[in-house]
Amino acid sequence: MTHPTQDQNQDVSVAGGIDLPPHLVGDSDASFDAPTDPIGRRLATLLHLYPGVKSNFRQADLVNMDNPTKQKLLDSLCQVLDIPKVHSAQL
Amino acid sequence: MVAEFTARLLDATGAPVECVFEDLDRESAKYLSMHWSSNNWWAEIVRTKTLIADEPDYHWDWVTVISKQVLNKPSGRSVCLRSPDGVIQGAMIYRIGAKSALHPGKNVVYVDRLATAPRNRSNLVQTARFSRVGECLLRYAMVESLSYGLGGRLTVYPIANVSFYERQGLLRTEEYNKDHEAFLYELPAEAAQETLRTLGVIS
Repeated sequence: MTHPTQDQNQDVSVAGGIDLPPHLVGDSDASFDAPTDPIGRRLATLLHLYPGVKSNFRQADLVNMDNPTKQKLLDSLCQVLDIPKVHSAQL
Repeated sequence: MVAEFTARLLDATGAPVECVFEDLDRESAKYLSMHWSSNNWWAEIVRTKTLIADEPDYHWDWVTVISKQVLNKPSGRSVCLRSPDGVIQGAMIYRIGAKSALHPGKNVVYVDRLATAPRNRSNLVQTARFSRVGECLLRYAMVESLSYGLGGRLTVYPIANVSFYERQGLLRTEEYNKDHEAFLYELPAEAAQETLRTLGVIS
């Protein structure tokens, strides 16, 4: 029987704090209008990441949408983008 | 129905403890930064095995980073893990839509900062209160990457314990930061999805 070494038992304690090189920053540093609520922000980020689907929706429309409508829009967007459905889980 | 995620940490006896992921706001972030509050997670540990000021994140000002990278950038996100007693056990700031270093044309989640509470670091204290904090935060970043159509891909600069990341399936890229003497590591989509499938996040 083998036992894990101390190093194998270690968790990650700290990572990052280093700026990405400019050619890898991409859209992660972009500024664009986004609602502050979680679903609205998720939608705005998806629309920004995939400008190809942007023609069907305008980011400004998100401000006036209620939550059920935003959720429906998010669900259809995920379907169009072929984003797999995630299930609740203990990580 | 929106999927919900919890973290299964292990306490000092190895018993599982379910903890919750929460958005990390500016107010909560004060507890992580020695700049803002005397009641911070650094001040809690009295006796340490190594110098506390040598920890790479000792001077991180989480409040300012959240203001710049999350509140002012729509692609920025911040999350923390809270134990049942309400205490923050670890935190992460990440950004959606950075570029992959391994797969040109693909986007990733960039883990900008990740830290476990000093009380959970085996290099600092005799007995860590919880383990698995960093692993659970990284898995949360994989879920987020998948949810944004990025396949689970993520990049991160490990600044300690590189072997941990390699065991998680992250690969060393050619990107090297000379100032910090650190390579950028990337988790490919296949490795992320295999982990998430095992956890039941995806079918």
